[in-house]
Amino acid sequence: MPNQLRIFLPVGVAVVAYALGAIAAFAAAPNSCVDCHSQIHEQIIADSKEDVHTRVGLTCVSCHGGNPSIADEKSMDPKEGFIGAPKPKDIPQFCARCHSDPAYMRPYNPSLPVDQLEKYATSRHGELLKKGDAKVATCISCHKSHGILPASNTRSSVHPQKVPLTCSMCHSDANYMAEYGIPTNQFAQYADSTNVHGYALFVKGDIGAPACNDCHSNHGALPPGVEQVGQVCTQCHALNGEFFRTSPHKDGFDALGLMECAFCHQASPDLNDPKARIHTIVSPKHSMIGTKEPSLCAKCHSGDPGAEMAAVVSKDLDSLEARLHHARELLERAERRGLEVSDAQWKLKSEVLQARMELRTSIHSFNLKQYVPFYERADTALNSVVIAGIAAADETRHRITYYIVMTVIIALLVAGLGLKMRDIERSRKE
Amino acid sequence: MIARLFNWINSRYKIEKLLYFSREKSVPLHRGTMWYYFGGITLFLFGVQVITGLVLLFYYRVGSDASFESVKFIITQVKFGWLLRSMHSWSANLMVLAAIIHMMSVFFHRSYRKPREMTWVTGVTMLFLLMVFGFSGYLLPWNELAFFATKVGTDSARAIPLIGDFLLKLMRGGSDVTGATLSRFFGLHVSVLPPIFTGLLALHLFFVQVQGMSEPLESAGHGRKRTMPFLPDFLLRDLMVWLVTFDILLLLSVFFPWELGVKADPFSPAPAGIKPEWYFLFVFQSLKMLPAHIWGIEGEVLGVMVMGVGAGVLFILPWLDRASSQGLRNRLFDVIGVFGLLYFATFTILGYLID
Repeated sequence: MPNQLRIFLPVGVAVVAYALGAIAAFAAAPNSCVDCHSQIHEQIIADSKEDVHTRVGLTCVSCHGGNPSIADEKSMDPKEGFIGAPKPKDIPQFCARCHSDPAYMRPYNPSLPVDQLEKYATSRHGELLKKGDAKVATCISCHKSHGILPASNTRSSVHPQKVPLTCSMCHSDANYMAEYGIPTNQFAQYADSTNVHGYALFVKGDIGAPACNDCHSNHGALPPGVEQVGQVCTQCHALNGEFFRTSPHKDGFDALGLMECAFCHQASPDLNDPKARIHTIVSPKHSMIGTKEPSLCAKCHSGDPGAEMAAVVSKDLDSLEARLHHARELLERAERRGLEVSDAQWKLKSEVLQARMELRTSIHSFNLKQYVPFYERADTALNSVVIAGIAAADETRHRITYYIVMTVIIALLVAGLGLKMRDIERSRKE
Repeated sequence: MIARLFNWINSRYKIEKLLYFSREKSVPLHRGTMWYYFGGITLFLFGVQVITGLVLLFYYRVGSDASFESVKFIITQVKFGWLLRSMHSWSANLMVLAAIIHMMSVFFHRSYRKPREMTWVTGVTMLFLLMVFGFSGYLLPWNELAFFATKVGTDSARAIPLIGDFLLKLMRGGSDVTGATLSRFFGLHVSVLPPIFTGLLALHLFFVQVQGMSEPLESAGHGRKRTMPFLPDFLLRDLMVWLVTFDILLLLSVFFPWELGVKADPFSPAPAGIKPEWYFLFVFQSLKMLPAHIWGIEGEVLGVMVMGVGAGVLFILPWLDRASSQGLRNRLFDVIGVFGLLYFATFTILGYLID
C-alpha cells in the first residue's frame, strides 16, 4: 500500500462515518414544532416549506424561539427562549430583529435594505400603529406571515404585478376603510383599461410600469402631497418635469393647488374636484391641447397668450399627425408593390417618432420659444420620409410606364417577325 | 459591304459549309412541335441569367457584412439595378420551370431513345446543376429567409449515409451556416458552376445539331415526313417566343419585384414558415412527412436514399426503356411519368399549404 493511501484511507473512513452519523442524528432529531402544528396548522407548515426563510436554513425557532427537541408543551416554555406569535402592534419590531441588523442580514442577502422599520415608522401605517391602531398594515399584511416569497417570484404578494391587488385588499374595502375617510376607488381607477400604467403592468406585463409602491413608497407608504406629485412623476418622466418646472404653469398650478402632472393627465380632469380620477392616468391625446372643449387648455385659457400657444400647438400636432399618416401609407403602398423602402421605414421609426416624442415633451415648457425648435426638428425628419414615400410612388409609376413602353416595342417586334414569316412562307409557295 | 465581309471570312474559315448545314437543317412537324420551343426558352433564359448575373457581379460584394448591403445598394441606388436583380431571380425560376417542361416533353415523346441517350444525360445533368445554381444563388443576398432556408437545406445532407456529415461541413465551410458558407456558395455560383454548365450546354446543343431533332415514337419512320426549315422559319418563331418570354419576365419583375427582406441574423430565432425554393419543396415536404423510423431505418435517411435512387434512375432511363429504341411504347413509363408529375405537383402544393 502506498504511503499516501495509508494516511488518507483512515482519515477518509472517519470523515464518511462522521457525515453518516450526522445525517442519522439529524434525521432522528425530533421537531416538536412541526409534529404538533402539522395537525393544527396544516397550512402554515405547508406554506413554510417554500418560505424564503426556510430556504436559507431558518426554522420556526429562528423567529418564534423555544426548543423543538422537547416533545411536549415544555418546548414552548419562555425559559427555553420561546417568544410565540407576536401581537399585531409588535410585528414590525419582531421582523426588525433581523431585518434591521446589517451584520445579520449580510450573509443571507447583502443587497437587501435594512431600513424597513425606519421607513415604516414614517409611513401612515406606522404612524397609526404607533397611536395604537392595530388595523393598519404591518409587515405580514403585505408579505404574509408564513410562505413569504421574494418580490421577484411571480406568486409573491409583493411581486410588481401583485402589489396593486395586495394594497387593494384593505384599500378597496369600503367597510374596513370607513373610519379613515379616504376614497376606496384607487384600485378600480388603476385597473381601468384606460389607465396607461395599469394597462402596461397588467396587460402588457411590463413590470417596470409603476404600481402603488412606486408613487407612494412601499415601507414608507404615504400619499404624496399636492406639491410632491410632480416630483413623483418625474422620477420616470424626467424631461417633462424639467420643462414644467421652468414653465409659467408651475406657479399657476401651485397657486390653484393643482397636482401638476396628475391634474391634466387624469381621466376627465375637473377643476371642481381636481383629485377625482388621479389613479386613472390616460394616454395623452392631441385633443388635450387646443382652444375649444374638450381641450384642457380651454378650461383656463381664452384670448390670452396661453390660448394662442394652444392654437399653434394644436394646429402643428394635427398637421404632423396627418402627414405622418400619409407617409406611413406611402411607404406601406411602396412595400406592397415590392419597392425597397427600409431606410425610410427605419427613419420613420427612429428619427421621426423620436422627434415627435421630444416635441410632445417640449409642450410641457408652455413656451413657444422652447417648443418651436422641437417642432422644426420633427417637421424636417418627417418631410424627408414623406419625400422618400413620394419618390417611391413616382418610382412605381415610372416602372409601370417603362413596362408599357417595352411591351409595345415587343408587341411591334413580334408582329414584324410574324409578317416577315408570312412573307417568307408566301414567297416559298409562289 | 456584307457580301465583302462574308467573302473575307469565308475565304479564311469556309463558313459557307456551316450556312449550308443550317439551310438544310429542318424541324419535324407534328402534334407536339410546340414542345420544341421549351428547349429554346431554357436557352434564352440562360442567356438572360448570364447577362444579368454579370452586371450584378459588378456591384455585388461577398461577405456576411457586405452581401446584404450590396444587394440593397443594387436595388436602391444602381440605375435599373432593381430590374436586373428581379430579372435574375425570376429568370432563374422560369428557367428551372422551362427545363422541367422541356425534360417532361422529351420523356413523354421518348426522345431520349437511341441514339440520343447522351443528349438526355447531359440534359438531366444540367437540370440538377440548375438546381444547385438556384440553391447557391438563393443565399447570396444574405437575408433572413435565405439564411434559414440554407440552414434547413444543408441540414438535409446529414441524412446521406456515410458522407452526410462530411458533405454538410464541405457545403457550410464549418458546422454552421456562416460567412464561410456564403463565400463557398458565391464561388460555386459564379466560378465553378458556369463553366461546367456552359460546357455541358455546348455538348447538349452539339448533340442536337449532329443528330437533329427527335421525332415522336409514333410518327418516326412512317412515310414522308412533314418538316419546317430551321432557318429562317423555326428561328423566327423561336425569336417570337423569346420576345414573349422576355415580356413575361419584365411583367413579373415590374409588378412582383423580388423581395430583399431583412438581413440575416444568425442569433435570431428562425422565423415561422421557412421554406426552400419551389423546385425543392417536394423533397422538403416528403422528408418532413416521413415517419421517424421505417423498417428500423431513420425516415429521413431512407427518404434521401429513395430520392437518390430516383435521380439515378432518371439518368439511366434511356437504357431502362429498351422498347422505345425498337420503336415501341412501353406504357409503364407513361404511368411512371404521370405519377412522378402528380407526386411533384401534390407535394409542392402541400409544401406551400402546410406550415
